[in-house]
Amino acid sequence: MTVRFELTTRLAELAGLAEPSIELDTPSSLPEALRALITRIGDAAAPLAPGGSLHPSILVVVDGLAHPPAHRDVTLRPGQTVRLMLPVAGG
Amino acid sequence: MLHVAPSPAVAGNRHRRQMLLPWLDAEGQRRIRESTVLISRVGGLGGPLAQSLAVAGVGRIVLFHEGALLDEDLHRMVLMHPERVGEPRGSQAAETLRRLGGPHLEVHGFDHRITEDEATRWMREADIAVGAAPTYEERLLLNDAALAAGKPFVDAAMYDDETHVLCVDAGKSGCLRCLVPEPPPWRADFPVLAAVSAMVGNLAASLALRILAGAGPIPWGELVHFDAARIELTRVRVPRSAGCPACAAAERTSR
Repeated sequence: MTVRFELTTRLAELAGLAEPSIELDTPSSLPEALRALITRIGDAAAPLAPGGSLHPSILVVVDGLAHPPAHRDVTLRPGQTVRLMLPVAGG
Repeated sequence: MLHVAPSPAVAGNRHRRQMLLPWLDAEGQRRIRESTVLISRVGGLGGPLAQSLAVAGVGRIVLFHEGALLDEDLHRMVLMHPERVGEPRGSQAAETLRRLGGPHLEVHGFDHRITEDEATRWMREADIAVGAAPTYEERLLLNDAALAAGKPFVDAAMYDDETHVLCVDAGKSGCLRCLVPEPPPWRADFPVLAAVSAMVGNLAASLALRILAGAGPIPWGELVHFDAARIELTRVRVPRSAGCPACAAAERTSR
């Protein structure tokens, strides 16, 4: 199943991605899809995914709804977009 | 601390033009005038934010901003005085706000970072808290204090071209701690263009004024994310987290 991931600018930079969006063939569950993304990013994912799991402060958004770590047990539909956002801090 | 008391004189037509707005009638303006706003940090984001609240007629502003003014602050901190580099920033900002806000505005300016005790104390009197600090520790502190007092909270932040605003309706909507339970580990000497930090500061000010006036619409519990480089606005619904201690405190207050 193809899932499209969109990363905010700063997060894409930290992940070492040249483009802020990437499409992957992944399983349909959100946790497994996130693991596929972490694998795809490779070494650059280390600070973003300590221990192989996405850092809890990274925001995961599906269909405009934020999914905190305790609320990620959802099934994705083919072609769905998962948006990942790094919380911004500055002023 | 600098405390500037208001003059008994009241400006006449100062707010007439904003009262032409369909959502801001005389009653709304009176609410704004009688309100107290607690703000943590009045730098590149919080400075323009506080400036807009002051000129809009807010009655009392309580601000906290630690540290002395640096030369590198001057490209964005519009409330500071260029000739006073090296002097505390909170007092300078308070003086500028007092001048801008006119005789009706009372300002309390503190030259240190807000503490938990101070946030708790001021939230008893404040009608709303606004977080404009560059660290999640400080923003979460203000989030928690506002919710414990059962008061609304507006959080605003930026990094480079990315900005966000979150309006929290205590005990009813998701809050900043629901979204980010713990401060993220990433820290950086954040890049900032005044045009971008002022933009998000003024969006937060606009929403805070609507909340104070009792007007809408307010995107309660929605993270409004704007990327100024991509010119892309994203709204994200933030669900209440069952285990959020800040929301639990807000529920206890509302009982």
